[in-house]
Amino acid sequence: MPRPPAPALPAAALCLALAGCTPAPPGVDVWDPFEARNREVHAENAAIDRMFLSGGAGLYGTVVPEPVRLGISNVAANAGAPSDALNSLLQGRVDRTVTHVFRFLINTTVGIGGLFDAAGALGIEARRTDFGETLFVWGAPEGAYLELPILGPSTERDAAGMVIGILIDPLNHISPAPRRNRLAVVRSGAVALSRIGDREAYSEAYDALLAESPDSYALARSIYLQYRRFTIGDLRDEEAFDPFDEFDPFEEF
Amino acid sequence: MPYPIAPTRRALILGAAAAVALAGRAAGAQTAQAASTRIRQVAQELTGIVNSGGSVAAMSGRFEQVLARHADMPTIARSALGPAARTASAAQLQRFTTAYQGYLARKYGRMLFGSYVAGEVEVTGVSQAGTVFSVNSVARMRLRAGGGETLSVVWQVSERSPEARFFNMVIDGVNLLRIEREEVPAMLNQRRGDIDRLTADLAGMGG
Repeated sequence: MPRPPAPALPAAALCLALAGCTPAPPGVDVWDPFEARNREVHAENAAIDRMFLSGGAGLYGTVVPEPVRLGISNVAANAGAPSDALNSLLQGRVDRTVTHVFRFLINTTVGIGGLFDAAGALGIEARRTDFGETLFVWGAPEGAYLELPILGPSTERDAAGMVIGILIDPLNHISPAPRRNRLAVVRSGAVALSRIGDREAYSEAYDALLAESPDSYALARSIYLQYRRFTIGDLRDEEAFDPFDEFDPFEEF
Repeated sequence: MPYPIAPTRRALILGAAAAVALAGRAAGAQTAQAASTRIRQVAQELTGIVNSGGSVAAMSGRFEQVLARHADMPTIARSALGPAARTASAAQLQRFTTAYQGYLARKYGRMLFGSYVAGEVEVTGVSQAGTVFSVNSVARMRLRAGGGETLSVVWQVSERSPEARFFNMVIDGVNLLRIEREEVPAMLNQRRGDIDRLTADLAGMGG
């Protein structure tokens, strides 16, 4: 069967230009107009996950000792610090911007290229961020839910944020070009390995929740949207749900 | 009029039932203080479990005791079932609740104790919205794979619970009752609405 063109990335990239994404109709909490296509991607992602991750469960963690894995995660995080600083600035969060700049300076020097989180050891911590969050702070709507190939759950706003985030990342603009490219290779490797490490660290949680779920697509969507909204501070002022509101007070009599 | 007496009777019965229900509600009215005291106890017990060094299965077993002692399980089970709970008999509901409690403990026990190997849960405050008390806590956990993380865990207690027991946990914004209210009806649907079959199947699930 010929597959319909993937709406995900081109739609998301256009999203900002058109300043609209595909905003959810009023009152719709989970907006998923591309559900059929998303479910196809979910099935492919689940198959890839089974093949490469669940299959070799714990391989990375077994082969690579903990201090090395931690160092790789630190390099990946440190390479993201300039982007964190830029986005914090774009969000108007000056204190966080300063903290990210300090962290980057300390960890790149004292922390030997980011291998060690020396700033963290000194108690200088900062919340990581991305351009998707910047778009939220600027008032862009969340847009439709998307499940991206390999990368997993996202939204139009977050996918657009990812693409633009790469384009504006200060580390992708240093010169000369050969140095920039070497850095990009090391960084991509560190980010990929730390993602594999995260997937392994949470493999029990993934399996406990998703393996027996009657609808792992809907579950992943629900968890992603709730967690992402919590993280970026997209607090929707719903009344706290009380299960007693639904019960018929007479049914027990 | 075809039914000159029945409506009046019905009204009387409903009135009496409402009076009983209201009396029961007043007797069951919970306070922020009681909710907070309960969750401090839960936090202390969970901290003990996660640091116990036991197997995931053993820790999940102890987690089930926490649910049995401190969660409003009949309310959670009924809410998770949704409208289907109304058609079930009291005995069916009771059997479902027992099986569901074990399933929840195994599923979320594996999620928590499979990921974390040590940590502490600390209550930081309580707030009220409508009839729901939210007891806030932070969980500072150490991952089995190395490294640590801090989670926000909000425990919700209804003013209308018969006792100050929690009916919900919200972990870093992820509302577990909301997830269960999506999952359980879907599981029930897969079994053509047969609650007894779901009850039987739950015994072998979540581990």
